[in-house]
Amino acid sequence: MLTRWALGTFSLIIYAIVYLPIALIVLTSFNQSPITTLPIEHLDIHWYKALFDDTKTLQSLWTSLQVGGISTLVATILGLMSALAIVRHNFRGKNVFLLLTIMPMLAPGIIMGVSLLLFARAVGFQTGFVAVLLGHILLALPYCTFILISSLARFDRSLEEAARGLGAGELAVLRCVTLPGIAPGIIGAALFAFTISIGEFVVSFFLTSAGTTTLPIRIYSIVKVGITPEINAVSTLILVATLALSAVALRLTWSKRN
Amino acid sequence: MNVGENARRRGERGQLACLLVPPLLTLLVLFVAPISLMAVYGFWATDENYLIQQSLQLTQYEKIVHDPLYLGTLVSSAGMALMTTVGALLLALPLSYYLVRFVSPRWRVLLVLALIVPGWVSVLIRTYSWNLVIGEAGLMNWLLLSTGVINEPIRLLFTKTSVVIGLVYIYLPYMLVPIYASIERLDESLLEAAENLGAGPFRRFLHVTLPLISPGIVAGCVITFIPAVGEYVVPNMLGGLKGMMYGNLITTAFSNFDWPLGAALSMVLLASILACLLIVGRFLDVNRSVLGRE
Repeated sequence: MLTRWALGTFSLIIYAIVYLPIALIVLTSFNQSPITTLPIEHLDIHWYKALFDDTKTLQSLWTSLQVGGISTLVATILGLMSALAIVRHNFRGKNVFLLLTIMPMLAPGIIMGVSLLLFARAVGFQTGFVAVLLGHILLALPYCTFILISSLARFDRSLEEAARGLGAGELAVLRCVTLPGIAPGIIGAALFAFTISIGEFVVSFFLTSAGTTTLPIRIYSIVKVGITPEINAVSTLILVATLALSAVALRLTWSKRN
Repeated sequence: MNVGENARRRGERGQLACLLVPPLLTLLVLFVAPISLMAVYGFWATDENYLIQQSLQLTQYEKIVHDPLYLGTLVSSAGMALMTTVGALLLALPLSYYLVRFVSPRWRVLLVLALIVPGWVSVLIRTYSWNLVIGEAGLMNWLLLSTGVINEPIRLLFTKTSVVIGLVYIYLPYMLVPIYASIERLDESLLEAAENLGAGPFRRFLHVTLPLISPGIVAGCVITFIPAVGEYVVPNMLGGLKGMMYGNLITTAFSNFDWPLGAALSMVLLASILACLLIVGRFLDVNRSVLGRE
């Protein structure tokens, strides 16, 4: 009984600490005063209004959405290919390929960022939008692959046999049976890739050029000067968007398993 | 029969090639080639005009070994990552144990998710949010000052402590998932058997629970420690000069256009991480503890 109470209190404190900084961001975004100090006297939404007049921040939001959208599409397709190869085929060097897929997850972001920068310069590739995009594809690829490996492993292959027995060709089987069957996994992987891309900072930091500022880079450049309620307003919006996307992703990828 | 079999096999080969080539090429061009190029850069040097001399030499590595700043920062980064790992472990272990033992399965899943999902919000935002908590005008000082516990604000920000706090916060989900998974898989009947044989709660934990969940603990420690050593955002936002980590040195070298030095520093970090993985890999069954399958 004592253990239960002690552990319960301890856990409660951890939950409080995890949510405290997040709650403070949301709270100070509604602070009327331009300085983010406590106590907060008047609450209003004028920092959200200011946000809509801040063209630089809006521009960076647009860049982030573009990078996120394209890198999600590419990473999900590449991840699906890897997952199909790994789950459905046996080939020499499969373990090496798996290891190679995991590696970008383990290497520190800073090393990926600087090595991509060196490489881009060496082959005469301009840093900027496409470079950031490629960096985000690389970062999301391992996650997409592993999410899709697990959905493919759970997919009942006898459905494909049935379709083949009814005369469907390989591509038709893939398009009409396999892909719809693992659709929740695909959407989950895509949402995960998008979440990674929207929040990513270090790799973009090295690959960006003056014209392609993503939202985290914009936030960084403002925070370095001083935290403002406007930044907290942006962060609150990102927070809400991330939580909503994660909820959908989880609903889709977890419901089948449990 | 034989001809058909051969054709089928060839068709499968072609299919496999179509599936394998695009992702493989992506990984080779965006990961293997850049890292390999960086390895080469580490053996080059710059002259006084920051022009790169492409001749193989060990200048950068000699600099790293002889200047105590570089290896010293690597050691202190490893120390901070170790503190982070221990801190996250001390939080995750009792928490996971509580969730598995005392919370109904339905709520348990939701409560675990409640700790993981905030982890998907941008690291940048979650890190700077600690400014609002431990900064000079933050919540902690405001509470302590207004209740009269202290007269002067505590300057916690821009120290090693604030970096470790931020790191524990960022990496707690990494530690939590494998530990929670291993505790959840624990066979309750073994604990009951130990109880029937007269073992108290402490002995049960030490001699039954701990050995059984050790793969989860090791996995959690590895996937917390490794990215924490190379962390850049947290020390940059919360560290200042006192809380600098190895990642900051790499960035500084690159922003000073000393690319060979930056490359050599990066290779030292990568080599240290690989060495850690190899050492731990000897004691760790990756399939069982990371991928969660037997």
